[in-house]
Amino acid sequence: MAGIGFELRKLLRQDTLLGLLRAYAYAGVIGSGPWVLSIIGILIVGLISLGVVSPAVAVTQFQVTVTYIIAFSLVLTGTLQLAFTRFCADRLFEEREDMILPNFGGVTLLVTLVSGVLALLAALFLFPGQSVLFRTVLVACFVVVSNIWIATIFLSGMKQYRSIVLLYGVGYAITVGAAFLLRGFDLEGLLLGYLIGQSALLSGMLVLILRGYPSKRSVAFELFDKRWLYPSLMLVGLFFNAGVWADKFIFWMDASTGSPVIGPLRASLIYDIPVFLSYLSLIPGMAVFLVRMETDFVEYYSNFYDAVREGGSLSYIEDMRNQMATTIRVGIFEILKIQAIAALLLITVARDIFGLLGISELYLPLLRVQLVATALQVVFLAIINVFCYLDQRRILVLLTGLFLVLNVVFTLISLRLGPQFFGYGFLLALAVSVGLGLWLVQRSMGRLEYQTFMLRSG
Amino acid sequence: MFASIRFLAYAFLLEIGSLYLMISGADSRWGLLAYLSLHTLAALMMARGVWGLLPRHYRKPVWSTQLLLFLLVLFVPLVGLVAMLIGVAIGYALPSVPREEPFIMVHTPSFTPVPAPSGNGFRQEDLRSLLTGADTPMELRLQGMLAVRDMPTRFTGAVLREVLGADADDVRLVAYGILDQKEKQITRQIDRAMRLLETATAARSYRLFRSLAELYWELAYQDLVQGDIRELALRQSFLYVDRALTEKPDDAGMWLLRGRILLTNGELVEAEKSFRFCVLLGLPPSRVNPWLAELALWRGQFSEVRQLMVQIAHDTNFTALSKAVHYWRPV
Amino acid sequence: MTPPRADSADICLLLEGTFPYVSGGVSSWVNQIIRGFPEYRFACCFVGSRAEDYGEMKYTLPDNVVHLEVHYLHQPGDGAEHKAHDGDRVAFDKVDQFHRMLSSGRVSDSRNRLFAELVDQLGDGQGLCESAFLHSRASWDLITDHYRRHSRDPSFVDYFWTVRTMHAPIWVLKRIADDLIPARLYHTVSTGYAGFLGAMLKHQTGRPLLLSEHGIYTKERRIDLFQSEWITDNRSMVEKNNTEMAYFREKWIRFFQELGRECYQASDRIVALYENNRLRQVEDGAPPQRTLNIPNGINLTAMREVRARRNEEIPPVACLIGRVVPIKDVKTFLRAMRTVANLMPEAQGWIAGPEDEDPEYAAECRALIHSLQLDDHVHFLGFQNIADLLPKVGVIVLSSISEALPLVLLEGFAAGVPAVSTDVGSCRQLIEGLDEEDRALGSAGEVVGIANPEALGRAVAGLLRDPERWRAAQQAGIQRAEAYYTQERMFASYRALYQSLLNDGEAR
Repeated sequence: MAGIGFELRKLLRQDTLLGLLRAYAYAGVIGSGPWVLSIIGILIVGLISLGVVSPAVAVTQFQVTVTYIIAFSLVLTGTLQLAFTRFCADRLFEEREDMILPNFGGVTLLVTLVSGVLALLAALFLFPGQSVLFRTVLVACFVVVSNIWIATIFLSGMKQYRSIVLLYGVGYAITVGAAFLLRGFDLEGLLLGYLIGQSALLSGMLVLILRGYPSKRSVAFELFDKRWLYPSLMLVGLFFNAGVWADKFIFWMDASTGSPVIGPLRASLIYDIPVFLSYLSLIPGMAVFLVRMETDFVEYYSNFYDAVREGGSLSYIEDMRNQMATTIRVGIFEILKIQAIAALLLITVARDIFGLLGISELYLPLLRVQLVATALQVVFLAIINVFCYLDQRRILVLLTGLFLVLNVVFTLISLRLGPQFFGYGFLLALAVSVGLGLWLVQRSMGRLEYQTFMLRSG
Repeated sequence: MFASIRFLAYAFLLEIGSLYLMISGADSRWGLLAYLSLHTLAALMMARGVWGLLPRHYRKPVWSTQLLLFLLVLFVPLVGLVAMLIGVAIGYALPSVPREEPFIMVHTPSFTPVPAPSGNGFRQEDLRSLLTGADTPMELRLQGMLAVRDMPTRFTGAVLREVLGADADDVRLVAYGILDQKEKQITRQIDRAMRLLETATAARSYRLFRSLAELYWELAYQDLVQGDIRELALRQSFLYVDRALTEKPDDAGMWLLRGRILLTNGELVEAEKSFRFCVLLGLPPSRVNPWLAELALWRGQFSEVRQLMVQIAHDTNFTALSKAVHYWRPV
Repeated sequence: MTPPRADSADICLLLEGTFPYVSGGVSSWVNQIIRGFPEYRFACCFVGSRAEDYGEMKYTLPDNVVHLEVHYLHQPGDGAEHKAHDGDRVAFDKVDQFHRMLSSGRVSDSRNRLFAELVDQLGDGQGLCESAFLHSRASWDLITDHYRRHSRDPSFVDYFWTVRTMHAPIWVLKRIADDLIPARLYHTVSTGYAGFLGAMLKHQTGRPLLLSEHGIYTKERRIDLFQSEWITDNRSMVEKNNTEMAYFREKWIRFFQELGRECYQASDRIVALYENNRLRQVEDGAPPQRTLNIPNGINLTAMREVRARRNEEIPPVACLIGRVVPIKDVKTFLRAMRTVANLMPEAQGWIAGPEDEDPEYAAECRALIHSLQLDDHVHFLGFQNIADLLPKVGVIVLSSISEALPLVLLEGFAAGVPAVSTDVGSCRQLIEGLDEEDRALGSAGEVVGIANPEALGRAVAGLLRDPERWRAAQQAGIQRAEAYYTQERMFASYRALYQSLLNDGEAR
């Protein structure tokens, strides 16, 4: 997410409380944008169609379908997310911007092909009971959402944060509007509305990309060139996204916690609602994370590497290293503080919200666990981000791989242990990964110059 | 363009057919297959049609771009096409966005202290005796050479050439290197100008004559060449001055240079004519008078010198000449 | 052609950037020496910078070269990531101690002992192995500590890479030394890296080491570095002191000085071409009692035949014989030709030597001919057979800014061609004579200052236009070459050296 810092710093420099608030709000939306907007969007679509759509279960069917679309598209494109981000950043550094757009085309082509074929196969064989329209729209949604993730990465790589936020806002407004208009057509109508909104979002992004970054070619596959591809980053992207969704998927699939909703898609009422609610608490943490990481950390980081590359004195280099370490420490501490506040707030009002939504209070303990886990997830993201900056790919693979494995193992164990342990699997997996991550961060910062100079290939 | 629109029209018809099949057709596997094949056909034509509407530089590479379009309209029926067409339309309609901000962020400069202090290098001594003295320690002489390196050879040329005869190879070669490098800089520019001259237009060759004249003059003036070569350089300079003046007779700068070359060669009468002409062309006294004064000095016309120098004093208040002006000021 | 291989040799020559891949004075001399001692079996160990800097062999290997190996000092890194490790603190403390001794500038037995001790630990898997230097924490701590203590330049990255690039060849040399076939005597023809290799071999094998220096390597490096543009001074405007050398420049110079000093300390005998160079060696750390002078010598019989092919008249031809490179200062010769041509319009200037070594410089020279309007007077002949060329030449011109003891002057003398030379190296000694007896032979031409085309031109024209003086110079040249600079004299001196060193080696 390099580059957001500039925008944020402009806002922070206004030096007023309003400026500060705006900076944090902005960062919050950007950092958690896709997630939160998706959740809110789905929830609103659900709310507006209550009582209109029949059967009522169609609303749940819609929400679950979209959740699956988001989950699977994230895991699928996760393999390319970091690798592509890195490719963009490297080319930008080399000032070979003209290579980026064609490779975006290449990635889009690949993602469209793979997601389309996979979704088509699923639609053909896994949803025999559904209408052709539903299946067609399902395939279309999956392709469009997959491409949206890639376009989002491209635009964030190009530092177009404002546009991303704007487009997401417009896209989800259209989604809700279209779903509202089409809700008469039941499940298919809602899904079609979702497709229209997402397509609008994607085409808006594409217009922005194509116009902003002219190129002589539309499609290229240099990204997959041995020189420029980091397979380890593909693994990291896959592990992280799979890790984030692993516990949810297990809960859906387990016979005791999940139930079938539509075709092969299952949902876990007792798990999903607390989980998605708790993700709303992500906003303030992500805001702090972005402001800390993208302004202070990146500033020291670039000072550090500029000094390394362009002949700073050793004392200055060390100074910048120390500042980086301090920023990380302070940042993580702040994330935890703000997440704690957000969690407390949510817990206090949770009872009322649950009442409003007609959800059993039995979910409350799980919500608490999930809120803590969400806080840790933000910290984990921060740690991943630090190691991305430090280009320590081996550690990244280790951390995300560990997270995935632990999440699967611990979640399975928590399922065996019974309802009072639900959620602890995810929490514990994150806690262990974050603990290890923090230790590794400390170790890496302690020997950063040594590592930078002596252990890199010359 | 029209071919593309025709493709799109047929594609629309096919797509509507396929949609009809999809909505009306039983949810049987055969219905699905029929829809899929009709839709695939429509997608192929749409891809071709949209591709034809794209701005030219987005159409390459031909096959993979069309494949991308095809896949998008295949997997996202109708909505994909509509979104794409609207996108293309918006893309054409909007003005192009400036890609680079004119301003960039720069970091505040920071003072980086040097770890090890450097010694005090100040020294008051006659440079010539420092450099040429055989009893000066080698390190000191080399240090002196370092200082000399950044000074104009007009002042250091003589000393440097004296050092060329030094017994210590190191000092001698460094002196050689300094002279050689400065000479090479000018010679390279001369070579480049010469090459450009071979293919230059009239307007351009005037500028080249001008710079050649100045470069050759610089060789002599900066004391980089001696003897026959110096004469040759002056001759060349004079030649190019004349050629530049043939192209543009009212170039006061060239007349001034002409005068200075003539003055160097001791042709005082011709030099004076050139200088006077400069004044006529409007060059300020501060630029011409020093040379006229030098001329007068050679002729021993001291009152004339004073008069000329006084004019400079009126003309300007700060030049490298102020000391000389001050000297000639009437008491 | 595959280089010859053998299991052992009598004399191993350590050759840095010279014979058989580079042509020039030193290479010809090496060729001459090998051919002059058919009774010994020679091994040649060529050390170059990078493979792409050298082409085909420039010499046919004499039959008594039984072994040739080629090594390059600068190799690209392996590109791998490396694991952090602590390294041998004790060993690196010793390195620190050694560097303290270096900066004190004194040579002592304890320093030599420490040096030997360090060299022993350079091998793979040992305390000072290459990977320890490149990647260990101990090495890092030493480098940063030295940076803090000594660097006058703030740029750490430049400091770091200067240290790395500078020292990296040491391990290459160590590997060469380990794998080199056994020899009874090591003979290096320069200090620098090859000389350092000699010093390592001496410490490792105990075999005698002989050093023959033509130019003074350290001095040449120093001049190179002094003028190099690639070493920058990173201090800001206010911190900069114009009379101070860029710190990294100084560091490089000191490094080569110390390489040289180690070689001088390890050498059993140190040969210079002439007295000035010998004094310079002593100044740079050579023990005076081990130094001696052996001037170059030429093949007199061959040159006498060339002389016989001359006719009576003096050709109005001034010829510069040598590679077209900046050190020969061809441009001064060309400018001098302007003066010569002004004085005697029938005069011709020839340049006989390959132009491929520095094409840019050669192009500059050609441009200069044109701008000096000398197109009718000066000609590039390319590489020439000296036996065919010399009879057509009236005077040999040497405009170099640096020389040692140039063979072309001696060959010219023996072939009956007087010379005008710049006052560099031993040129004055060759033209005017060394001692009383020698000087009595008369002057074989004229000596002028460097980079003084006017004087050079006048001297050439003066000699060519005065047949009486010319003939006197010719006779002085012939007599001097025949009396002092014959191949036989040189071989005899080296024979004595080789024999005594080989005997010493056996006795040890």
